[in-house]
Amino acid sequence: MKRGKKIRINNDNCAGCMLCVLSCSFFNAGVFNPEKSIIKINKNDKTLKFTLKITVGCKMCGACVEACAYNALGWEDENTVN
Amino acid sequence: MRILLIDLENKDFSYIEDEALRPLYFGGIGLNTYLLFKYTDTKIDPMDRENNIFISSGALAGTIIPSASRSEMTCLSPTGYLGTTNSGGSLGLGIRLCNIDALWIKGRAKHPLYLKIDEKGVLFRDATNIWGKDVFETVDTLKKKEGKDAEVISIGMAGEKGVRYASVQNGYYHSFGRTGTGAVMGSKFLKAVCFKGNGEITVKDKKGFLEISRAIRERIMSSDSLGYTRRYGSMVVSDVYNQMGILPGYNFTKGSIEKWEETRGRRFFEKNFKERDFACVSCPIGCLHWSRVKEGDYAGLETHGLEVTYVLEFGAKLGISDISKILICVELCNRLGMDVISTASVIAYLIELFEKDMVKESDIGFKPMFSDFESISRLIFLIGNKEGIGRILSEGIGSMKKYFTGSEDFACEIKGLEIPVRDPRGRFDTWILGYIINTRGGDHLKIRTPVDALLDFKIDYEYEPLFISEKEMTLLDIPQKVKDKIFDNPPTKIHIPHMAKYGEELLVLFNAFGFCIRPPVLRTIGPSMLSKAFNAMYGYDLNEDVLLEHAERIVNMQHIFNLKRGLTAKAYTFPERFYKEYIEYRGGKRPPLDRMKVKKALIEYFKLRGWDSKAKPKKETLHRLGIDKII
Ligand code: SF4
Ligand code: SF4
Ligand code: SF4
Repeated sequence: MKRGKKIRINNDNCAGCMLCVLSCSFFNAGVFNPEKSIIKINKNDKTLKFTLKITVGCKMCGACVEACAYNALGWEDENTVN
Repeated sequence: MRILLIDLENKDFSYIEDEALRPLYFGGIGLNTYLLFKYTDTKIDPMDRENNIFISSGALAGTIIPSASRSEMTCLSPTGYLGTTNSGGSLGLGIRLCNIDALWIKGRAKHPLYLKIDEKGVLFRDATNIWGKDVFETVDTLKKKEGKDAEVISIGMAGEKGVRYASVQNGYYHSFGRTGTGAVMGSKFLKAVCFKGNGEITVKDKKGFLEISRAIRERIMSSDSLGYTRRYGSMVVSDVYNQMGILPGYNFTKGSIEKWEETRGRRFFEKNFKERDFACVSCPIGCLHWSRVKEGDYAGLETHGLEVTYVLEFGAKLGISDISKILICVELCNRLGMDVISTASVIAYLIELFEKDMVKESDIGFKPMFSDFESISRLIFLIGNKEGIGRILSEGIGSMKKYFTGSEDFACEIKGLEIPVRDPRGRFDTWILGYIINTRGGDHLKIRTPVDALLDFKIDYEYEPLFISEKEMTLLDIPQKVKDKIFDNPPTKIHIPHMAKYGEELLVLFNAFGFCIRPPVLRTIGPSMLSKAFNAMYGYDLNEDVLLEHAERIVNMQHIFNLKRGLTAKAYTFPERFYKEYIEYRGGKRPPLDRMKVKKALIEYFKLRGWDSKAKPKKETLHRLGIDKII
């Protein structure tokens, strides 16, 4: 996948697998701990709805995008980025 | 390894640190088996305060290893034998973030309690105000109190009241379903456990770990089975079961059901109920679904599902044709905290007792009928609350059949555990032999072939045909020497007893490492990939042979535990229905199982295990596996 300038989030596609969160934490802190991830997931365990947010300090390394198998994260199409 | 030991009686806790256990027992069912074997007195009653509960996360849980999310819960079961049950969701991560591998819960609290666990320790909290509440209410209350990200496992009324097949629910929708661990938790006055740690999960060889996790993911994602597993989840097999005539219809009397595909088939479900997919933690497959009932009496109901087990148990075994009503039955079980399979089985057994006039309407208070949601849902409620006829039903078929002389033939249980989902007469294969050899009783989740394909074939009791694509064949991760024993050359068929032995050990490893057994994983991952991931995470140098030997030891320890509980080779059999009665299906009638041939396959399995014909492990087997030193 071609890397763009901005990460696109599509919450409706999110399956709640936390692979993005675990990957971010592992790439950036070398351990698995959701608190150490820059991308955060807000889970509602009862309705199984998930909301993602990239917090400050993102290095744009793309580990989260690569980890997502559900097309909930991707790179913004270059044309739409100004 | 770090095991958190909790003494409910004295509200005390401590940690046991023993790294020597890790390369031998890994985690999950491996570690639990060791702890059960070593520390649980086999003379006690399952509800005795001396019974222990062990909860271990899989060794690779809480990481990016695909699908390795799962945990195992083990104790002496109310069946009288090994009780052990697996669950996914995010619990594996939740346990590991408390900086522990496992929990060992002992003793009995003096009043209802729940536990709050984090990386610093345990708080013993009063649960009087949630005792008597259902699982959903309990999880709601505890998430409000302990934080919405707390992982909560809890019991409902069924566990509190000692229904012998009570489950422990993991969150709202995942279950530790089988073998009644919920009843044991209830006997300890333990309502729930909340995990809310902020620890760190560390890896020895980070580069190697990343490489192996990518390799595992690539294999899983390239399996032919990936697309349909995500699209339909376990429902993928619903139609095939009907076509092959292996449904457990009406307490195993009908292998096919009219209009099945149109009412309970996978496409019908997808079109009318499925809303979206979701996944357990760390899983790129996403076989789970969220469903919504769009019309009828239950319009607006939204819930997790459908899993094929629900449709086979409530839809076939009990004959309910409306999916929304099946979802309600499942939700009732989840709220009351009861195993879906055992609950449906017990009700099916009662209905047959009633039809045969062995139970009267006056004993029940109403007429129990197949396909009748009203009476079935009422019975679920009565069982969960142990009221009226529910008191007897809560004992499970293994105990009930003693009261109803003459009902043994259709009492569908093995070693005290109710038989799930598939009629054994349709095809005799690894799965079906697995029903009688499984150390936890009549069940389909502990012995599997990685090359399962649901197609019809002529039963010969020794071999099942191999039907997988060339691509899938190259993706198989089975050691060559095992392949040489299981397959012919070139591979066209599978030797059932050999595959049963290997499939049982493979599933011990999957479980111990936290892996899921859905087809994309089972078909592509085996001992060599597992050993690489384990070595990278923990810094060991184990190979696939060592892993399989450890798994063999673990199976033997479970078996010896059962033998000490009084299990004999006699228990390794199907209920008489399957040996005596023909089964109707849409292709006509199938004959019953051939008793002698089943026995032959079983004895062959015993032999491969190094047991004698009475299922007793031989001295040299115990010695070879070093078990003689642990006993
Ligand atoms: S791109 Fe940003 S949020 Fe994503 S893994 Fe890298 S640092 Fe984390
Ligand atoms: S990896 Fe994708 S599907 Fe999984 S939690 Fe992150 S955004 Fe959601
Ligand atoms: S395949 Fe399904 S059950 Fe297995 S871990 Fe993934 S989402 Fe969970």
